[in-house]
Amino acid sequence: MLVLEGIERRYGATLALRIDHWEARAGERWLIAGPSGSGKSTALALLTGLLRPTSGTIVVSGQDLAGLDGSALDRWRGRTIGFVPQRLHLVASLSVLDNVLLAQYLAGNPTDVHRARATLTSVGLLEFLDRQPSTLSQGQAQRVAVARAVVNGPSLLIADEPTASLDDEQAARTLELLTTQAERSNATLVVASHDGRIRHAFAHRLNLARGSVQ
Amino acid sequence: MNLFRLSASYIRQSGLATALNLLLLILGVGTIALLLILGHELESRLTRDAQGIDLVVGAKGSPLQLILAGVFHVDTPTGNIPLDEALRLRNDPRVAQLIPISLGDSFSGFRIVGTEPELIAHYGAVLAAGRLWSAPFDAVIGADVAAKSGLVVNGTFAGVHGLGGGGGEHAEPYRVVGILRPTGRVVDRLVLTGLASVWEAHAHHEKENHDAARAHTDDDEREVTLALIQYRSPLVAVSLPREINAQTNLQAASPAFEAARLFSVFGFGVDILRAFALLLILAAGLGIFVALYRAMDERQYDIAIMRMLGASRARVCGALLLESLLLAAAGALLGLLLGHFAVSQIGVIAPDAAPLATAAWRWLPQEAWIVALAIASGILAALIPAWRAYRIDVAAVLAKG
Repeated sequence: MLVLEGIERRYGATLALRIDHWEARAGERWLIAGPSGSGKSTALALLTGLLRPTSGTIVVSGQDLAGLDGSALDRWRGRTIGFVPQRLHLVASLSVLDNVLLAQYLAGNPTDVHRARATLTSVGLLEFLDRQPSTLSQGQAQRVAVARAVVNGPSLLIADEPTASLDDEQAARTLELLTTQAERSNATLVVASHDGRIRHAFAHRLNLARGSVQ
Repeated sequence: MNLFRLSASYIRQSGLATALNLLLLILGVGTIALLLILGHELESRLTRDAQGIDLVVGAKGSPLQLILAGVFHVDTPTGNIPLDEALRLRNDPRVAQLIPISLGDSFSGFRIVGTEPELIAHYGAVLAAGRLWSAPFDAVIGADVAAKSGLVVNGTFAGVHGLGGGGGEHAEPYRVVGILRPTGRVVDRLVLTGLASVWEAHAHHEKENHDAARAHTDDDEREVTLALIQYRSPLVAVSLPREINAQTNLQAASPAFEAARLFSVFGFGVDILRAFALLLILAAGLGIFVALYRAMDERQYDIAIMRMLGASRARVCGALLLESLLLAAAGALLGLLLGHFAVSQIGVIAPDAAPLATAAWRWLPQEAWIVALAIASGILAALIPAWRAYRIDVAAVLAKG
């Protein structure tokens, strides 16, 4: 499902990240752990093809990312990867439903209102379809972001620090939401987090402080 | 969901600043459209009214005034000329047609024109009812006169001394013997009668005023106000006017030349207004640019997430361009509508400009240029923001969150 081999990413002479070998199988749940500055964001950017490694190969869902370029890479990313950013970044001028439809449209899929509604229903937001993002609570907005990430049935679901600003109860619920939705899409879940509270939920961990798989 | 809906949602959300930019654009486009339509209507009306009149001869004075009075029927004439001098020109082999015209009286703002029946044919008018005049104080009225006054055949009305109204009424009333069909030319607003009517009216008038100027009714000293001349060949334009101006007491003026002079006089004012309107469009374009550019600081997150969701660089640029284009197109369209509407309202408010009420909704090919200009300003306004969108470092923006 996901293979990184001999990865180095440098900014000038500075080494930002090194992953000698990382392999994740379909449906696994992975935590990328490490303190801030350890390269978690860099790792996610590499997985999504937004950054190129200085050296090494990345294969996601059978696709060698070095073989993709420009809009083909963008399209591949839209269809293969669901991404929940830390700050959610819902499009404020669009309704909840339209935010999810936007994900379908930008991935190059036909916009399927039925599927978008079903996805929003599965995260418990059926009654919020026409609301503007600014009227939602943090928890509700995060559910929209998750629905937006999974509506295209991604094979890789990525969340960046999903629990950073949440209390214990909310953090647990978010984790539950992510795992459920990953299972629903049969997706590999990769969560980048330095939050110790959610460590227990992951059988697999990539600890970046040491740049090796544990 | 598509780019159009996305861009429209941004426009809806952006509120006051966008509304102001749109307003500027609408006003700019509206002003240019207004000037364009008015200029076009005025020019085509003047052209229509002057059609077939190569030269006007009348008393010495301002040639422009002579044209305004004799061809467009808006100014007072320069004076009178002896009829026999005008008729002598009729025998000139270079003249194809000469129609004498006598002005001086009016009826509720419409001019009473003493002339010969050829004038009706000259304007391509035909009788809708009745017949031509055969005796003094028989009148044939234009379509607008009939519509405004409600006069019908055999109706009578009193001529008023002077062209603007407010003068004393003549004792002898006119009788309507014919009504003309509408022509869209100046004859619609004229009351036509025989030359003899005007002479008699003024003979009466002067008697009432204890003026003993009987001479006016003597055949050999009869006067007219001016005469309209059609050349036999355009080449005549070189010799005949100069000859008349130099060798007689008459003045010859060319409608085409004077109309062009008139246009160049107020064309300067129109140019200033047009420059001002262009400035408005420019300001609107600049406003759209500033609004988009400032929105980019917030918008960069939206653009980053859109890229993450699969949008290519070209597509996020396209979204910004489309947003600006939508604004520009809306401004252009609403501005054109405003311009046309304003012209039609001028037609409603000012009775003299009544034809504008319908003419206002004719669309001119030049308006395509206004739309092109507005859209070009929209594209220019979005170029730099679109370039910023193109270059956004998605990973960095999402990471700094």
